[in-house]
Amino acid sequence: MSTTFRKTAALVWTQDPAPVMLRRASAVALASDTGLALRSIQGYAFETVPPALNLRNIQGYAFESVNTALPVNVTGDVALYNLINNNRKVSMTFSSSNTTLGTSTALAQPDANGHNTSVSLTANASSGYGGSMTFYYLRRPMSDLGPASISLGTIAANTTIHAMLATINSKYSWNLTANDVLDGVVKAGDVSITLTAAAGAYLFVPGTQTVVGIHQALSTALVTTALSGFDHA
Amino acid sequence: MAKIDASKSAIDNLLALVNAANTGQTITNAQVTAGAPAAQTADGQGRNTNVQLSAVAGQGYTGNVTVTYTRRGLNDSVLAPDFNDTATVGDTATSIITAVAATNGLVASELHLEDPAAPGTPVTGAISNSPATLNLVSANGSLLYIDGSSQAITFTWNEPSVALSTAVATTALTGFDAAS
Repeated sequence: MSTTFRKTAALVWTQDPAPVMLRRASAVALASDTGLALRSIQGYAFETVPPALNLRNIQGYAFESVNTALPVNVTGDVALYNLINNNRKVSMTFSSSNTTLGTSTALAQPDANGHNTSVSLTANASSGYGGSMTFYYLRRPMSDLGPASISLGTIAANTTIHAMLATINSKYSWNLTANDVLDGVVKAGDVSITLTAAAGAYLFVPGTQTVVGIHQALSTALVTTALSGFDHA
Repeated sequence: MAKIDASKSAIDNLLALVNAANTGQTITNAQVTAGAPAAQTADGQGRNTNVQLSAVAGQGYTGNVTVTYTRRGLNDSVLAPDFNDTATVGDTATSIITAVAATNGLVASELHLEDPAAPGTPVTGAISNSPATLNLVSANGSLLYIDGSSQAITFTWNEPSVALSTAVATTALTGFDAAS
């Protein structure tokens, strides 16, 4: 914010950039640490500083709790721990070393906040905490991964989806585990694999699907485009 | 030609045609979306409609493809039609459409009712004026039926039942007197 505004030779408005930039940097860091969205509120005020008027930039920040992007750079359990830690009110950082995650369970109906899943967190013995509690959060369809068409290489022999996860993760920079997707047969020569979210997946709505590998052009898959039609009922 | 499966949605009926014509393909409504169907001059096989299918991102396919097929008008969709409906005053347009569609093997989601005296305006909600006929009309953009095609429904209207508790307000009666 270093633009200088001039009205006449006698009146000059300037903005005051340095403090604003410092505060913004701090706000961005805080938002990043807490998993909150940063909203900027900006206004201006005029200050009489003879023989000129200085234009002061007044900037404030609001933090908004929003759903974070579907994390694929860590495994589902770590992503869920990160989500819990971003909302914690104690100094303790939860992880598998001091707590145990239960199985993610679909809610019969989304709650008032749109959450569709519950999961329990139970304190491990000697962790400094006891008991367990239930968290509610939003799982997303696997289709939200929106994978691009990337070759999985030549699949020379019959194998399984779980055995292919290392290849899939490598190609797509994901961290899927056997907990995330149902196992199934992958045949030699396959160029694409349909992944189906498992019931206990921490991040994905069970049963939702996405396809990895080579995505075929519709025009190649559907050679016959002149169909028959609908007959009398 | 394939019969429309009234238990399936419009897109699923269309994809059944697509998959039948393309051996080995099982395209689903999660993988493609259909645009608005467009009427065309019928080709030698009577295909009077074209529609574009577009791949849904991440579902195994890319791009789009246009297919052609035959839609029929509502007045030409049912070989043995029964467009006489017995309804009760106060029935909703939705319940009437559902009943007529079930009787004639039509897909209710593609249909609406119109008063012959006010064409172009769908009749909605409860129908209490006992019209002798209403037109069953296919929705514009229907994947299954020619846009705006219609079929008259002739109605027999029954009066709605009245609850006994409403009809008999006085329940504390007198009693029987001596016979003589």
